Amino acid sequence: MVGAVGTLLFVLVLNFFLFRILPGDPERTLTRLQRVSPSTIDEVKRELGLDRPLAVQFFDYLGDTARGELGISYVFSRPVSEVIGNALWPTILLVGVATVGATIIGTLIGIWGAWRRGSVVDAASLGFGLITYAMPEFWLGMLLILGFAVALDWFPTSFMTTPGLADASAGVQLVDTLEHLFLPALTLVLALLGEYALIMRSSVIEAMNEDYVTTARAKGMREALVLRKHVVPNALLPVVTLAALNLGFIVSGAITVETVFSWPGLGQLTFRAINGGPDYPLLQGLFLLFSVAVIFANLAADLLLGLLDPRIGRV
Amino acid sequence: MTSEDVAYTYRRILDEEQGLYIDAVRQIESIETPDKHTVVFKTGEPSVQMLNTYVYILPKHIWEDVPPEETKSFKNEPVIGSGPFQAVEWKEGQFARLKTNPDYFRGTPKIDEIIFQFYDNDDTMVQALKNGDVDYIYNPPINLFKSLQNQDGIETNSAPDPGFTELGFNLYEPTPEAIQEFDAPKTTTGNPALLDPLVREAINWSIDEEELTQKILRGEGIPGSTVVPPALAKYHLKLDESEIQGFDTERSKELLKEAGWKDTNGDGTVDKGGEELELRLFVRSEDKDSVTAGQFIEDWLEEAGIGLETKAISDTALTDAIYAADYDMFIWGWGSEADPDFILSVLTCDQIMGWSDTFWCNEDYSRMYQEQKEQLDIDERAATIKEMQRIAYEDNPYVIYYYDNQFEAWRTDRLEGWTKTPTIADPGQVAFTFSTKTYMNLRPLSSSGETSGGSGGTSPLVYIGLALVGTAIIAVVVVLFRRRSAEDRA
Repeated sequence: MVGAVGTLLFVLVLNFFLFRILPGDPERTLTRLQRVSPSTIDEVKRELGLDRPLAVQFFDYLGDTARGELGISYVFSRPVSEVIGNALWPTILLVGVATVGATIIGTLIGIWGAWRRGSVVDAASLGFGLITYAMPEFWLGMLLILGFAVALDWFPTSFMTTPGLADASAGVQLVDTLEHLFLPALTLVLALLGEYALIMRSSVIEAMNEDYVTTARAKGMREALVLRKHVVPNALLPVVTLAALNLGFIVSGAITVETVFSWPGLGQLTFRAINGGPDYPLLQGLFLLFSVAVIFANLAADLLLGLLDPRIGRV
Repeated sequence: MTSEDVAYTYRRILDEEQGLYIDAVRQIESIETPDKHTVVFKTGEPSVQMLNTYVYILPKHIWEDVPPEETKSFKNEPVIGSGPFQAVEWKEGQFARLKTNPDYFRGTPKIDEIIFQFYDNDDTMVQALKNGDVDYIYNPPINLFKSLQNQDGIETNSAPDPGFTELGFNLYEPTPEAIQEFDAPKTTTGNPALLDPLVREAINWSIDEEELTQKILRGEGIPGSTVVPPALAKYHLKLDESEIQGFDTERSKELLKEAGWKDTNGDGTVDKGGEELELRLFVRSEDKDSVTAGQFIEDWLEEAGIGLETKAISDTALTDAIYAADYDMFIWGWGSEADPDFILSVLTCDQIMGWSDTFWCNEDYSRMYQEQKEQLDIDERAATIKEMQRIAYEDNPYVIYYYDNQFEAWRTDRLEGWTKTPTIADPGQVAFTFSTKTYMNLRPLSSSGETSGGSGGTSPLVYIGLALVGTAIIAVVVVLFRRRSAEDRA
């Protein structure tokens, strides 16, 4: 717990200085497409607070962050919390659905593969998992677009909603969003699947060689029951850790997938924040959010493992 | 909209010195509105720019309640304008939906609405066009554009664009005046060899503009020369064959020799006073074409005996390097307005630390720039402007290596009335021009039926959902059955 708070403080400090090492002056980038005089640039600097010493800027930043004020985005001219808030839900929806889907399907494939180790099914699922895991996400995304959106015309190629449905019923809007969600989520599920399948498979195989499994078999338990009662609960532990850690990365989005499908989430926002400035307040806000999410996910993983595995004990 | 709105807009720009428009309206001394349909502008000096000011008119009744200090932060929603369409729905960074404005003074467009969507990925955008998700796409990359040519139901247009791509030089010489007047940097890291016009001319002769146009633009452009693009036909200076600094490495070596640079130690690179001629070139990591051009230029300069170190950096880093005078050469481009005033201004002394990216300052050029502003006779003005181009071409602050085309592609199976607008260049683009012709002319093809988009009919999600439910039911039944049989056996 103390460790988590310490990490958070470290991240706060690092966040501030990290982005100031980036090349580029925000006041120059913001005025790049305009005929500006040096006095205008000074004015912009003053507005952004960039004319003051770095130390002063730093303490302002700490104070504001403590008060929950993340500043005004340079690029969007709106509060950072509002800009991030708008992009947060699309990302949670996309990456959340994909992570849950990948965890469940990947775990099942892993169990199945381990159970039928050496069979054709095992080889096929292992190969499939490895191939999709190794594929670049943007390429996989493009293939899915070519197949499902262009050739079959089942799903839209991009975006999260169809314009013009603002007045439609909630049901129509929901179906519309789900249709848009399908391909990017499928891309992510396929990309993440292999990881879960591989870990689950090796974890199950390891557990199957444990003494308590031999004992259970010796008691005359049916193989399926051995698997369900003794092997899988123990083998799930590493997968729980992995899933919890991945949940932390949910908010940082999937930059490549969000770009291929023009999905209006945090990954896309990060990309635009780096290109347009750099937009210090927005980047700081985003990275604070990402760090907090990862730290909390770690904490959650520790606590959860403590519950699932009494040997680990309290944190 | 009345004359009051027009007058209000101009006064507000003047009062607040708004950066983007102030140079276009600065010469106005008084604005009067004798009646609802007339606005009278008076300028101190005759001003040719008054015929070509692209200023968007603001609605007075909205903006008079916005104090100057809120101009920048004012959200301006809903957007009130006076065009043929009204914005009815939008999501930042995603799309904007415009509906026909039935009260537009030039008539009502024949389509009901237009949706602008922003793709983050070019490949997806092109697929969306092929798929019929969108009717028009703007500026796909050259390779994707080529893949669309000669496709059924798709028309492509490669239109001359009023812009160019150039190799620019750092010509900054720190002087107390420049530091004082322009807030210019106190030092420069630019190689002093480049201050010699002969060296710059040698570099121009070593570069093959034709080859760059063929290899990088795949022929969709024009080899470059002067600062006003040929798209602005009235003002572009067409050089004689004899004036063109073409591609001739031997000529390049001679010019270097004339400037005192010779390869005395036989290492392949020319030197002077024990100093080798080694230059740095920045290309843009955000623009693949500039990286490719950099590779060509590196080879050519080496053949001429000039050492070159090429580095790809981000646009922000390049902007910084330019304003800090921390560079030798760079590759970037400019876009011109329909009037050449702006593109000419870029090379004037006044724009140092403003738009200038070379620190080039030629007094004749800058003086003539002011002159052409007041020349109301088009022929006279064109003559001045052509002379300015000659001065700049001969002194080489830029080596302009091509004028790129703009690409667009649209579907022909649903709408007709795509109209190329030669506002600036002939034949021009159909959309994103300075006119609304295409938007006014577009109408559904008479023969076309209902669109076959993905939105109609039963959603495929329903089938996938049904399939999932079916699988789940079968799985449950199998498990239950097995369990029962297991219990039976137990």
